Amino acid sequence: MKNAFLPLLLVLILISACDITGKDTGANQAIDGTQVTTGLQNIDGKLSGSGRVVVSKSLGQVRGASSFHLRFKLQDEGEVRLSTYGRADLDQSVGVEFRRKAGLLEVKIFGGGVDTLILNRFENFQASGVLDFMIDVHNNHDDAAHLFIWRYTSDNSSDYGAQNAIVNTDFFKLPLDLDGLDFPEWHDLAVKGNGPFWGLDLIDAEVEIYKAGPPKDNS
Amino acid sequence: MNKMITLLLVFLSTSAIADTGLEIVAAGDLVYSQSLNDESAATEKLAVRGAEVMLFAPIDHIWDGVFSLAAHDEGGSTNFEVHELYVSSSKLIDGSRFKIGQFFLGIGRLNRSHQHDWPFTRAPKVHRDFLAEEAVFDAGVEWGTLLPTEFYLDLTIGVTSGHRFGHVHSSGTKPKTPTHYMRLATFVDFTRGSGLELGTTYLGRNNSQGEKMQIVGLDSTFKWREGKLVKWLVTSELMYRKLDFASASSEEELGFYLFGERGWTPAFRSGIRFDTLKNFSERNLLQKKVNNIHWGATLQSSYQTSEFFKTRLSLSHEFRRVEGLTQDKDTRAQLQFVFIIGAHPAHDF
Repeated sequence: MKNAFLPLLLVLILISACDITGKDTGANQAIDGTQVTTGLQNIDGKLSGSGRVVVSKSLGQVRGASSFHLRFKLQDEGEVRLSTYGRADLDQSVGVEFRRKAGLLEVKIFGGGVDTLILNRFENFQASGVLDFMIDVHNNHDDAAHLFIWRYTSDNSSDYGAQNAIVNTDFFKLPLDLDGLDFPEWHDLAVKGNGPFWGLDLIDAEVEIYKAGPPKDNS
Repeated sequence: MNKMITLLLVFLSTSAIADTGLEIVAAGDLVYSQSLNDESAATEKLAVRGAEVMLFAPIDHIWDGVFSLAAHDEGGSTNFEVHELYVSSSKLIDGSRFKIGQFFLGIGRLNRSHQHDWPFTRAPKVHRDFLAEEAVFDAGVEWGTLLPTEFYLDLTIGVTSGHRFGHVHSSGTKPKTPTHYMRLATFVDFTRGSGLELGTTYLGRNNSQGEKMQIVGLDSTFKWREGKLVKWLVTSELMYRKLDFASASSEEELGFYLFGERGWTPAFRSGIRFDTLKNFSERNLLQKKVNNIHWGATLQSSYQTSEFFKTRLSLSHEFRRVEGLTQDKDTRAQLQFVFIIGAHPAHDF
């Protein structure tokens, strides 16, 4: 019966060696949550202009999954680039880039030096209007990071699923693809982010909401 | 005449199956998940979480064969995949047992059993994050033996391809170092059918991008039987994972779960589980260590009319505490139906 207590004793020793309450140590008090470069205005949490913001609170696990709510407006030739699961300089990240070009909305998924341009999926979006998206990045797959892009409806997970995504990089889940693109190169290259940080790069854009949370889909 | 031929064919087929020792079993796992807060990712629908068909039989006087095919609901569509397809033998070399093929890796506690056989509905946080929603399976070779000691000591060693590990949507890529693992387990007998199993596991892999993974685990399972009733079941796993990324950074995490269940009657059981996971490597942009911990608690009740049909209701709450703030709260209720058709192979302890 003594042996029954050995694993429990080991657990207690390990627990006592580290904090199990997650209490405040002051680590996040020294910074306001973001680091903003010059050229970018940050008024009441809304960003405008051109520049970079890196969110100082990390996403936690590098091999984790998160959702990102982005609401923004693009000027002509303007761009918003969401980089996730990258290093502190957003290097080695995966993400999505939105660009307004010749009146149309151009969307790219990128990571590991690979850019995949997604055509035809965003033709119904007014590139000059307010754009509002929910984006999932699952950086915890053994092969490539799994990305979803949805039109934002609410913060409820039940409103988002693999079947109603505008973009779902899961090769096996793509509907008949009008572009002829099916992302096989994405999985073969096993593109993933290699850090815990995320942020935005703006060119002539205004960002109203940029918020990270738990993933909306569990695929 | 046609009726006679038909009956004869049926009789011969049945005899043929009976003569080969072929056993067929099908298992169904249906789960309804209801979110109880906005952040929960519960699907809010009744889904076929798993439908599995297993065939197993002796191949000849040395080898046995196992084939298991499973269907899972993923994002609203049903995916079929081969879970296990392997040959095994305990007669090839005296005192040794072999597995060659694709199988669930012989590590830890939960990874060695099928999802429909679990004593709870949802995998613990540490299992989901370090391994998979169900289990890690791969193709390779596994060898096991009972060591020549005075007490029970069992050693399992395995090497598998490592092209895939955990959640994967493609065929994977060749790793720099394949998946390799070892488990050492001992067993303490108390009374007939009651005992305690303790195991320790090591697993390593270096994937195609140069990301090195090492997992070390401890598992324990205690069962106390009174007659046919498992009156007490207590099972736990502690896992440590270190990831070394190609970018020279690394991440260390420690996770644990403890599950206890009381059997009140052969039909009715109730249990509770605690989950926790800590990331020791979490830093903010100023590279200051960020205090964090994930906690989860699950209450459940199970009712079974026989060992072939079980209903389970569970209520779980998980959250993360980061520098004094609570986030990522997920509260959900789950109703599970598990049934088995056919002759299920005997469970390990």
